[in-house]
Amino acid sequence: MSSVRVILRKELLTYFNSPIAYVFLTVFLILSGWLFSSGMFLRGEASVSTFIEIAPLLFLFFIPSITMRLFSEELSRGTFEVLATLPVRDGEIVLGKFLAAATLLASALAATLVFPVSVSFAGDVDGGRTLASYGGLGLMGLAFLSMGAFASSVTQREILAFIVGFLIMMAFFLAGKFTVFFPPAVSAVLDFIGVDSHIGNISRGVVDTRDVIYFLTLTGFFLYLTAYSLGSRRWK
Amino acid sequence: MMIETQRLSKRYGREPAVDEVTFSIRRGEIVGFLGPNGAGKTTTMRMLTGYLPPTSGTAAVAGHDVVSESLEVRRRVGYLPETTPLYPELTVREYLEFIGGLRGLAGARLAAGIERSVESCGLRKVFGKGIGELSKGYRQRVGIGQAILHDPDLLILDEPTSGLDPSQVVEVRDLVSSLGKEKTVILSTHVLSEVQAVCSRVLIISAGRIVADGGITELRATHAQASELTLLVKAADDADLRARLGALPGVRSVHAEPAGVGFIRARVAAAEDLREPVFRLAVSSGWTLLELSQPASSLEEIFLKLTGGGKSI
Repeated sequence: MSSVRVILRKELLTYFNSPIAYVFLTVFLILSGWLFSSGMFLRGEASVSTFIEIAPLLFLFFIPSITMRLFSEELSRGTFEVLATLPVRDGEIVLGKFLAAATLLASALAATLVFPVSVSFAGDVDGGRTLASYGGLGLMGLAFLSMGAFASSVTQREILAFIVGFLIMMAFFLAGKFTVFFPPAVSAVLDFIGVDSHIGNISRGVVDTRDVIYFLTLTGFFLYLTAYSLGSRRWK
Repeated sequence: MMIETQRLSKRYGREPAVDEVTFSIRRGEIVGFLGPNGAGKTTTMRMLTGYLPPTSGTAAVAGHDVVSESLEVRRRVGYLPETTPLYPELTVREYLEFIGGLRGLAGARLAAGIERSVESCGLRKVFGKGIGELSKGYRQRVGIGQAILHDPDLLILDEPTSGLDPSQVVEVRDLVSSLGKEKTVILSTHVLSEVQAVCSRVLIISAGRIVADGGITELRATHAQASELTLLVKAADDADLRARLGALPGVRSVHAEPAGVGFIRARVAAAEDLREPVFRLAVSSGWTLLELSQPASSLEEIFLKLTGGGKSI
């Protein structure tokens, strides 16, 4: 496990030694701040629902931007060759990098907690529901991060990693939105695969273990794929 | 035995990059992999470090198989890949701590490892600097520093001097030589003088095969052109000398010319070593033999001969 910690530390150094982390945090906070305030002032709602509804869309753009460099950068610079010849398992590399990206996302989400707290001065905020919403966002974030990590492991070009990651996330994002166009059997499956129904439950304040398991399974699956894809580079 | 390979092969698609290579390297040797670009040096090294699995055949480092005991092998090997990949956004200190941490070093052992790398690679001056700001020579030293952090038994350096200026080349060579006093070192290069300067043994690789293996003096002896002799003789008649030399069995051609008054310089091309017969001939003919030499062929000549011409050296 100490290898995971060493990689996590180095990835965080990389994020915070370069402008990536700051640009990411700033833009994310400005956009989410705007979403909050528009909900509050335009509709006069003292709630975080506007933000929670739009957040998946934000994630579609923000998450690939933090995951695209995870492996592509190492592959294009050749540093992956050093990493792969150290006594470290691929899974540890994947986990360390994933946790670093998750830390960055978590700090962005944590910073947005300012908004519900300030809203609570203006009116009553449903604390439980807000917390559940954040939990749901966090879970979805983990799943999207793992998809982005996978996308980054298949190419050494960061821009391609962004696009591939975006498309995978898009597929899961849209799957639940077009259920009306399909026969019930198909739509039920799509509804289950898509993130919509799961995030919807959680943001209403209903924390169902099935939804939690859904997101964690998705995360685990894509992290496994990432490790597999890194391993398979060697067997070519 | 530090390294043992048995019919080690790597194919990319149908193209063999390394073709049934068998060799062994003893502890403490400094071995140069010499060959033109694309000969299979890097691929061989990648298989030894566990980065690429062989298509067929086996390789073992310190008795551990590179495929089934990859982690054991990786623990014992320090490796510097060809392009010296580093993280420009980290400082030298952060980078060495990162690699050391992944090598399982911590606390006092990590500090000692870093101290050794800094000391032997001369990194003290740049220790706190960002890698992105360093010159190519310093980056190369950081790369080597990274490879020796855990005091490995085996050091594999892929073209450690490529792209450096002449004084940096000398520095890196000296560094490799001093490391080679305690460790087994394999380095690849297509610079012949490097092998002569640093290595105790050379493996010449061409088109995925080993075409020569041995000490440098040994290689020179076996591949020396036994064919050429030069002699300086004190004799009067160069036509007579030419005729007599030409009559020796095995002589292909004789070229003789006067070299000052009463001296004749002759070059004899032959299929075999003719030093003895020529000497006896000189004695029986009453010539005073002032010089008799068989020029050793240079490593360049051996290299060109073995790798099939001067495609790219």
